[in-house]
Amino acid sequence: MGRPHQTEKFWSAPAERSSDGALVWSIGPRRLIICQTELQTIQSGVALRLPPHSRDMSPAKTLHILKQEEFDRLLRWLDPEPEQAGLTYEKIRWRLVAILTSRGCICPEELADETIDRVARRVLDIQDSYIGDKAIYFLGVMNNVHHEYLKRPMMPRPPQPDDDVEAKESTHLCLEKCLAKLSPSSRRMIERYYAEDRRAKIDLRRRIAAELGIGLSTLRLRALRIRGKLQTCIEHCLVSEARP
Amino acid sequence: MATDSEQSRNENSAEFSDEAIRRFLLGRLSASEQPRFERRLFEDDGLDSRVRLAELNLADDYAYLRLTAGERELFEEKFLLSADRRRKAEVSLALRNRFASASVVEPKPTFVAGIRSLLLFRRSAWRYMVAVVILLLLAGSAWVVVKKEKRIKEEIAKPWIRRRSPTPAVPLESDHPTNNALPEHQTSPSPMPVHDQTPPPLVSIRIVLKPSGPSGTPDIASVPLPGKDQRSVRFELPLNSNQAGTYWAELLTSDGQLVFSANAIKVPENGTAQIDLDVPARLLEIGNYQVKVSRDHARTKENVGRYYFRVK
Repeated sequence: MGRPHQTEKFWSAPAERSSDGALVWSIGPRRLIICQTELQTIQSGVALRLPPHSRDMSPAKTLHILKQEEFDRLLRWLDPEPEQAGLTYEKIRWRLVAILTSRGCICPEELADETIDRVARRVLDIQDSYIGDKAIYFLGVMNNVHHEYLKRPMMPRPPQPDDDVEAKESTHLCLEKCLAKLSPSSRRMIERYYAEDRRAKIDLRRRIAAELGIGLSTLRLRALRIRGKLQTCIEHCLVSEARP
Repeated sequence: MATDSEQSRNENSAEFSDEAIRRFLLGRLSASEQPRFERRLFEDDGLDSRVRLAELNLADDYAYLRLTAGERELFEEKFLLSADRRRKAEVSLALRNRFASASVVEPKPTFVAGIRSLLLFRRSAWRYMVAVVILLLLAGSAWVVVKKEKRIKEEIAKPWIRRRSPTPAVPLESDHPTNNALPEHQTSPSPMPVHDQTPPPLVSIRIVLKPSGPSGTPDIASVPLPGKDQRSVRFELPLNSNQAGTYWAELLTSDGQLVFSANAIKVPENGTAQIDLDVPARLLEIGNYQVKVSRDHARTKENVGRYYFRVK
C-alpha cells in the first residue's frame, strides 16, 4: 500500500467559506474543500475518514492531507515540465469532477481530491513500474473511491444557500468589467448572441452567422469560447474582489 | 477565437454526439455508454473541449428557459452538484439579465426558487396560449366543414367512383380525355336539369324503381346489364310525397360502396314528384344496388327513400 501517513493539524490555517457553504482551506497549491454535510458530521464528533486514535484529540479533528512532497512528486510524475504538469493536473481534476457529478455524487470535488490524494500517495510505489496512460490510472482509483462512497450512508444534499444579493451584484459588476476587456467584435457578437428570446433565437443566430460568413455551428463554437473566457475572467474578478 | 481547424478537431471526437454529451452532463447516459464516455473523456482532448463548451451551453439554455421540464429538473438535481457548474449557471443568468430583450425575473429569496417561480409563470402562460390556438383551429375547421360540406363529400366520393369504374375500352370513350378522371360525378352546384332545360344524355334504358315500403320491405327491380353500346341508364325514382326542394341521390352497391351520386336535383313546386337519375351504363355491373334519396332540409340531409334493383 505505501508508507504510513503522517497527519498534521490544520485548524490553525485560516479557512474561507465558499458561496455554496463549504469550508475551503488553501494549503500551498492545493485547496481542501469540505462540504457542508461532511463538516456537520465532523463537528458532531463522528468523522468519516479519521483514524481511530483521533477520538482522543480535541474537537478540532485532524484529517489526512497531502504533503507538499507527495504533491510535487505527483506533478513530476504527470509531466517533467512543471507548467505542463500543472495543466495536466487541472485537466485530470476537472474530468474527475465531471464524471463524479455525472454519477450523481454529492460534493464531487471532494471525491476527486480524494482520488488525487490516493494516486499521489501511490506514485512512489508505481512511478518506476507503471506503464500506460497515467490519466487512466486516475480513472481506476476514482472507481474505487466511488464504490466506497456508495457504501457510505446516504448523505443529505447540502442545502442551497440563501439568495445572496451581494454576490449577484458582484457577478454583474465583474461581468461588466470582463465585457469591457473583450475585443469590440467579440463583445458585439456576445451582445447579439445573448440578446434574444426563445422565438427569435434561430433567426437571429442565422443572421449573425450569415453576416460573419460562417456556419451556425462555427458561430456557436466562437460564442461559447468567448463565453468561456468571460467565465474565467468573472471568476478571477470575484476572487480578487472577495479578498480583503 | 474559434477557428475552423479547432472546429474540425472537435468534430473528430465524434464518437459521441452533442446529444450524448448533453445526456452525460445531465447524468442520463445509459449503463453501456457511461464507462465508454468516461474513458474517452480521459483519452481525448477533443471530447474534453466539447464537454466544457457543452457545460456553458447547457447553463445558458437553463438561464434562457430553453430546457424542457424534465431537463430542468435534471439540471437542478444533477448538473448543479458541482460548485464550478453553479458558478457557470450564475454567469449565464447574469448574461441573460444583462442582454436578453425579454427578461421577466422577479427577485426571489433563493436562487433555485427564483428560477422555479419564473418557470411556473411561463408554463401557465404557454398553456393558455396553446389552448386558445387549439380552440381557434377547431372553430376554423368546423366553419370550413360547414361551408364546404357538399364539396368535401364530392371530393370523398371521387375515389369510390374511380375504383368502381372499369378501364374504359369501348370506342365510345375515344373522344374523352385520356386521363382517368371520370366526369360522371355531377359536381356542379347549379341546378341539374332533370327534365327539359338542357338536352339530356343519351339514355338507352329507363327503369322505374319503387321506393321500399313502409315496413322496410324492398321492392327489388331487375335491370338488364347494359350493353357496350348503351351510354346511360335512367332510373326514375317516384317520391312518396311531392315536396319541392333540392335532392341528393346516391347509388350504392349492396355492401355500401358509393358508385355514383348526383346532388342539387331540383324538384320544383307543382312539378312531378319524381327524380330522374341518369347513371353511366359502364358503372353498372351484375349485382345488387340501392339508391338512397335525400332532401336538403334546414342544412341537413333528410332521408326520403331507398330504391333497390338488381342488375342481371
